[in-house]
Amino acid sequence: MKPALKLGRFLWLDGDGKTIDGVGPDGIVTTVAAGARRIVKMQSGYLYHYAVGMLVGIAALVTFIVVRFGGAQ
Amino acid sequence: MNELVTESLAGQPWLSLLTFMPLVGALGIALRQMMARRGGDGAIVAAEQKEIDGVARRVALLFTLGAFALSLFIYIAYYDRTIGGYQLVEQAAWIGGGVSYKMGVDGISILFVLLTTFVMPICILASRSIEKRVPEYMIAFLMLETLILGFFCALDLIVFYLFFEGSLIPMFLIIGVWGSPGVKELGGIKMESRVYAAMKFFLYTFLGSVLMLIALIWMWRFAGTTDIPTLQQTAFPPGAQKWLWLAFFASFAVKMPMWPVHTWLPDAHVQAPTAGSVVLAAILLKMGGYGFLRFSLPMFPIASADFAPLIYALSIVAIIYTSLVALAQEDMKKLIAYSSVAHMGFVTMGIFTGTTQGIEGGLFQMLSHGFISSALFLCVGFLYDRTHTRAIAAYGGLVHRMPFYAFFFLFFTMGNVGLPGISGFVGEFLTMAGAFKINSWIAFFAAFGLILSAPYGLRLYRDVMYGPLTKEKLMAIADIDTREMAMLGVLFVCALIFGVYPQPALDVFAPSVDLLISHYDAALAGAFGAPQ
Repeated sequence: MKPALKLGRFLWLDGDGKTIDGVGPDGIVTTVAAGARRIVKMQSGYLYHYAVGMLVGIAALVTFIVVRFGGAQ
Repeated sequence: MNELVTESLAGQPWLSLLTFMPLVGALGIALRQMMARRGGDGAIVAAEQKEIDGVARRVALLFTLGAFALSLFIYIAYYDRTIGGYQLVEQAAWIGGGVSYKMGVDGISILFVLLTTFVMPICILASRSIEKRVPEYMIAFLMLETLILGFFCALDLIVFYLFFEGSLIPMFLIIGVWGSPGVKELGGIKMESRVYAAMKFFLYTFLGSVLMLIALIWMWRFAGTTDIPTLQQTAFPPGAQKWLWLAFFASFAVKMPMWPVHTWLPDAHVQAPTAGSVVLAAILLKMGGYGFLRFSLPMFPIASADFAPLIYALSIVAIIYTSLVALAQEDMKKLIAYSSVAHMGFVTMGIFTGTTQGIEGGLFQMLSHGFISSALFLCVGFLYDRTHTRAIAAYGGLVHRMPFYAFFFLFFTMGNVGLPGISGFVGEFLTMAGAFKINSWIAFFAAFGLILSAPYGLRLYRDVMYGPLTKEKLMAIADIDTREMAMLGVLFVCALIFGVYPQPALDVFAPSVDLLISHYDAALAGAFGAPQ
């Protein structure tokens, strides 16, 4: 009885709790929440932050187009 | 039954009438609530609200009882127990392109229809302690009944899917709005435990059924129709069958629930109000098993045979694992919830043996679990109404104060353990007999799991009922009253009758199960050259 109870507790807290829920629904929720908290910092409210972001984006896009399709003429 | 009356009424859309009957009650309650007198601030006057609450309770009880009476009438007057195919079929043009509104029942679904209409009035009666938003609560239950009945009667994939998905909404609200108090923290976010449980229930089930939706659209494109009887005759290519089977499996395995996608169930059960737990255990879990029998086995027989070993493995893990977990529980509802997962393991094991005993046993087990688990959740609910705790440690020695309660609780605990003479035994025995035909090891492990159900059942009973009565709160606790006794009484009679004499139920299953198996065997013989 005692070992069965111990095994049951283990399967419940570590099996169901930490493994199945921890990786599955709770894990996904925790990851998304942590990711959201991090990504939220990107919204600083300073125009120049966004401007730099756009500049980097355009540079990357132009580079991609030039490398991929450029040199045809 | 008067022959003249039944003959002149034959051919009516009986199943649609039955399905939408509770919805009429829900609309009535909503209308009454809308017409309520309001005070200067726009809120309904307290006295008026009290009156509406009473009306809502009575209307809900009336309509659920009416639906029960109507379903009995349909069963007695029009249902032919000798036919294996679909009966009482009604069809109406709907979306077009092969999609129509089609309803019908057979031996596999008719008893679930009756179980639903039977359990619903009990749920309404068990909701006396609900005082918050009573009209909305009753509307949710009536809507739920319509959606479940539609689910079991649907003979079109799209109609089936709508009812299947739709039933999530009222249940989600029942858990999330009327669940128990408590706070849970997850990933730095604080939320009410009942909201967590409702979300988990919804997202799990929804994720599974979205995959089913994709499969469903593929099948529609392939066969050009969503008519379920036609699809059951359609031979899907073996390669596609695997993917389709997996997509449907994702949906039904969550609903069942099978290990390892079962963790939503203990949370949902613990948080749901008593009636919510009853309907969840008695009916909503059966949607998974029903789905396997309606879709997986007849439509994807080759894939079903291929994946059967996976099902056996998951079922056995479920039976042993969750029985052990149940043993360690400190919360009564959680214990019964885990034992439900174990019992559903027998169902999946039985169904995928593809044998008469296995499938009939699985069906019977679902039916019996509908009586026994609802009664156990009611038992816990009655204690919770009195003391507002579900912790096993908070009880002890109740037998001294509650002799009638002790009797019923013991009976249903024994039923849960699988004592011969109570309905739980028959299903477990038959599913194991079916499994034994396939592989004796499967039956051995399942039997081992069955033994484990005795310790947790007996431990629960001992800790709650026996021992000295020392807890302050329990000194003046009252035994169950007439209303509570009536609810447990009807379930007691059903569990006992089907336990002693299961033949009537098995006779209803038999023609449809035989048809299913002959079709299944023929498909396998066609694919593998010899009957399996």
